[in-house]
Order: sequence, then C-alpha cells, then structure tokens
Amino acid sequence: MATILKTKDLTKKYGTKVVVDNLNLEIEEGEIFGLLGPNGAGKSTTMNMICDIVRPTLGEVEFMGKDFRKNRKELLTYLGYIPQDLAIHGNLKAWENVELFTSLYGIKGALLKERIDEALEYVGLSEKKNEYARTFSGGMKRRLNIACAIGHHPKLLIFDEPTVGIDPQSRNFILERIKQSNQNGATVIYTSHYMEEVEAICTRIAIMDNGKIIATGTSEELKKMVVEDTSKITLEEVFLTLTGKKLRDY
Amino acid sequence: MIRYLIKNNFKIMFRSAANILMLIVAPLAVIAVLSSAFSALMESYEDVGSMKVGYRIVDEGLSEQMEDGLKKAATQQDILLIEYTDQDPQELVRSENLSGFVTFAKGSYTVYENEDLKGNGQALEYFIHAVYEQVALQNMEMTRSLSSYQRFPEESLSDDSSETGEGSDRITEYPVNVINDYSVVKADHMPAVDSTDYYGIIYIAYFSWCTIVCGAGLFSAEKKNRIGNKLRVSGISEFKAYLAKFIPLVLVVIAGMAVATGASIVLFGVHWGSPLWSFLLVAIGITAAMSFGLMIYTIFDNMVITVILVFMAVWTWGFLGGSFETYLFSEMSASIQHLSPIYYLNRSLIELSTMGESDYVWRSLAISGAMTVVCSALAVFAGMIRKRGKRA
Repeated sequence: MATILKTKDLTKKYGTKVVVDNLNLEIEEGEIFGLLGPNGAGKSTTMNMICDIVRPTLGEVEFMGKDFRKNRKELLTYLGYIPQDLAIHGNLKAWENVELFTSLYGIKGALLKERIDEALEYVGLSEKKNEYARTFSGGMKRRLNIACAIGHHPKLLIFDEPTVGIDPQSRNFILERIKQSNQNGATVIYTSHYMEEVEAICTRIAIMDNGKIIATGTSEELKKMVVEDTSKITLEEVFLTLTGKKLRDY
Repeated sequence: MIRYLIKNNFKIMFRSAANILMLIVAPLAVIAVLSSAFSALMESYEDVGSMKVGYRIVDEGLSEQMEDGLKKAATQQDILLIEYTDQDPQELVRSENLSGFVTFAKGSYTVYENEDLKGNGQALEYFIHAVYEQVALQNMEMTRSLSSYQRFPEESLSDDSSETGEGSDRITEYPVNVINDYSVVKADHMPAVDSTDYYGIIYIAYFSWCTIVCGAGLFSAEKKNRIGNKLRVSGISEFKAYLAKFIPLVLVVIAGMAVATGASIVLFGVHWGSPLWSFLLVAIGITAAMSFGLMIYTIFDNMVITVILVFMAVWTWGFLGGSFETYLFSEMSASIQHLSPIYYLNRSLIELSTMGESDYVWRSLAISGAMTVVCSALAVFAGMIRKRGKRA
C-alpha cells in the first residue's frame, strides 16, 4: 500500500516546552490509524499540524506525496477534519450547516444539494435536515459534525475524539460509519481515549506520550510488547503499562 | 465559493431575536422618546424672534436692484436691516450685537453669523438664500417674489406658494461663505426641522453605526465552537473570510434599518429627503461602520472589547456630530465637528430632508467609502497576522 501521509521530524515547541518531539509517522492509504495517548501527550497538536492549523516548529508533513505547506490549497481539498469541538452553528438547520462547510471546497448547485443529502443520510440525519442544530441531542450534534466534514469526499479523514460525551448507541453508529468510510476508500486517522473503540476499528495503533511515539503496531502487536499471551491483557493495560499510571492533568 | 458562507452567515444573524431588537425596536423607541423630549428645543429653532442685521452692497449690480424689495421682505419677517458702509463686518457683529451681517455682491452674498445667536444665523441664511433664489427664478420680479416668501418652507409651501404659483423654494445655487468670529467656513442655509424629523433621521443613522453587535452571535459561535479552525482547514483566504462576515452583516443591518425607517415613517411621520440619496448615505455609512467594527474585532479578537471600543467611538462621533445635542445648536467648533463621520451623515440626511439637497452628500459618501476601504484592508491584514500568531 502507498503511503498517504508522512511526517518527518515533526516538532512543536511552545517556548521551551516541547509538545511534539521529532514525530515520524507513516500512514498507509486505506488504513484506519489510531492515535492513543494520555492528556497532554501531543495528539491534538499533531492533528493540528497535519491539518495546517498549527505551524510546526520543525519538520514537515507530506500528504499524497507532496509537501503540505507548498501545496496547501490543493491538498486541503483531500482532507476532512472532524474536530473534537462541535464546529456547527446552532442557529442553522442541519442541511444548512452541511451546505456551509461543503461549499467551502468549491462544490455548488445541484452537486452540492446531492452531497448534502448524501452526507446527512450517511450520518442518519436525513429526517432531521430541516431542524435547527441547537435542538439536537449531543449524539446528533456529533453526527452532524461528521456530516459537515465529509461532503467534499475527502481521501483522508481526521477524527479528533469524535465520540466524547455521547451515548453508546450514537458511539456505535459513528464507529460503524467510520468503518464504512474506510471501506469506501477513505484513509482514517482516529484519536480517542476509549481503548475499546480504537481496538475495534483501527488497523494500526500508535501510542504517544510526552510528544513522542512510544509504540506502533496492530492491537495484537502492541499487546505482545507487554505479554506473550495476548488474551490475558487488554489494550488499556498495555496503554497504562507503556505510559505509566501517573496522572497527567492534575 | 463564499456565496453559501455569506448566505448562511446572513441567516445566522437574521434569525437572532437580539438583532431584531437592536435593529428595529431600539431605534424606534429612542426616536419616540427623543423627538417628544426635545420638541420644545426644536421649536426654539423655528422661533428666532426679531433680528437686527447689518448689510453692505459691495457691487453695483443685481443687489442694488434688490435693495428695496429686500428691506420690505425683511420687515415682513421682523428683520431690521441696517446699512454699514465701511467697518469690518465681524467687528460690527460683535460691537453692535447684530444677529448677523450680509455683504451683497453681484450674484453672490456672504453671511457673517453671530456665534452666540446660531439660530438667528441659520434663519438669516435661509432668508437671504430664499430672496436670491426668488430673484434668480423670476428674473428679478422682486415684488411678486418677495410677497410669496415665508421664512420657513412649511409655511411657504402650504399657503403662499399656491397663490403665486410657485413650487418649492428649496433650490440653491449660491455658494455661501459664513464667517463666524474666528474662522471662515462654508455652510448652507438650513430651514427649520422639527424634532420628529431630526431625531427620526439622526437615530437611524446613529443605530446603523452601533450595529456591529449584530455580528456578536456569529462571532461568538465561531469562537466557542472553533469554527475558525474548520474554515482554515478548508483553505479559505483571509480576504474571503472577511467578506463572508462583512457582506451578511451589512445586508442584515441595511434590512433592519430599512424596516426601522419604514416603521418610523408610518408611526411617527418622519420626513426623509431623497429616498435614493438617503438610502445610499445610510447604506454606505453602514459599510463604514461594519468595516470599522470588524477591524476592531479582528485586532482584539474579543467581542466585549469590540463592543466597548466601537460604542465609545460611535458615542464620541455622535456627540460631535449632533446625535445627542443637535448639531444646529452645537457650541462646538466646526473643525471638531468635522472630525466625526457621523456629522457628515447627519447633516447630509437632515439637509436632504429639509432642503432636498445638501453639499454634504458627497463628502459623507467619500468619508464613509474611504473608511470602508481602509478599515477593511486593516481588518484583513490584522486577520492574517492573527492567523499567523495562532498557528505559531
């Protein structure tokens, strides 16, 4: 499989504090790549650097074989970013929210209408398309947040903790949709604190701590780093073993 | 493709009840209160009483022929004209306590106002202007024209104009140099305006300058939900991002102010001047106000600070420009009043209402237009710097 995204010595410093430290990642086309890490590990900063929201102090990002910064405008059209925050407008109806964000990628007219319907159908909000986002439950807002990022058919989807604070049904629905997007050809980068989610959907997982990748592999490979018999350990135990039990945000 | 962004940002602002309150209800309430509260003040402007005015004929031509008729008309208006041949007009105004002084030349005249009697000065300007206009229009048929003259246009239009067959007497072609005690400024005659018209017009203009708050809902939602990051990931340029806020904001405020204006006409009978020019003046004023507000918002990235600074600026400009104390009675020097963009807007709108024309129209449009361009450029520039700062 071809590499779709590559980071070379990606580093972010805020003053003397190193948040991301010489990060080298390679994400293959068609995979669901999970990025795990405790609070403050540098996951969101890494995602923000990949999306060019935050400029790296050092290093570079290569996306689809091209330097991201030099080809920013073109490459951004292949990127779908689902932030942890609910980046939607409560005073707009569901379809209007999708229209607003999808149209930013140059999609218009009949195609735009088609993509709006498709995106809302995809997240199960077709019947609520004419309702204001402010009236939605947390789970519906999360789904709408996803719909707003997929209307332009991106090749790489970046989910930054998309299931925070929602019920199991909504979570399950979102995870199913992420898998479906992947089956439809999109590469996915997924960050979460929920180990079972990551284990369930990710083909490869990286564990990040203190700005560095400390382990990478499939779920099985990561478990084997800790114990031989993988049936006796969970991913969470692996995570705690590798990153330690000390609180990070006290 | 920012048209969808503009459309949806427009919807966000238009659907806010707070905006409806700010754009429609608030101006109407203020107009109702102030036009009623200051009606007595505006009446004093109309009733200037008797006046003692000095004059001098500089040129042996047209003005000489007017002299008798002029005196007769002046007497009818309770204006005592006294001829002075050689002293300095400004000195005379001071030493003789004259309401004003007029020098007549061929085809033009100069009015020297007494700074302490501004209402008299305005009435004098209007009187002289009207006389000149009648002369020009009727080819010096003095008696007929002067008999039709009334000091204020309401009277002339309602009564005498029908007798003489004359139409509106509000046209002026004459440049008038008004010299007060200290400086020479150009001013036009200004017929009386009642408090309903004055405050009805002024407060539409004033509120249109305050309405950056209509963007508060959109701005705070963008900030709270970090929608800016999503816009950045779409690759939208800073200029387009600015337009996506500026255009809907201007459209919402224009729509709101149009409704408020319509309601003020129906409810209070406010008389606006030329609908086209008045609309253009308020609309361009709104573009200036919104670009100024957006510039402040982009620089500080904080809606509370933006509202405080914008309101302080608008209050000061309004204070200088006649939004509170009417500019007609303002004791402020003209050079300070001219620092306020609201002064030009107020004056042009009021003069359009009372005279049908104003020398201030183009000045107001030019100032608002220049402000729009400069503030927009600074807002885009500040946005680029801020974006770089956030990414760093």
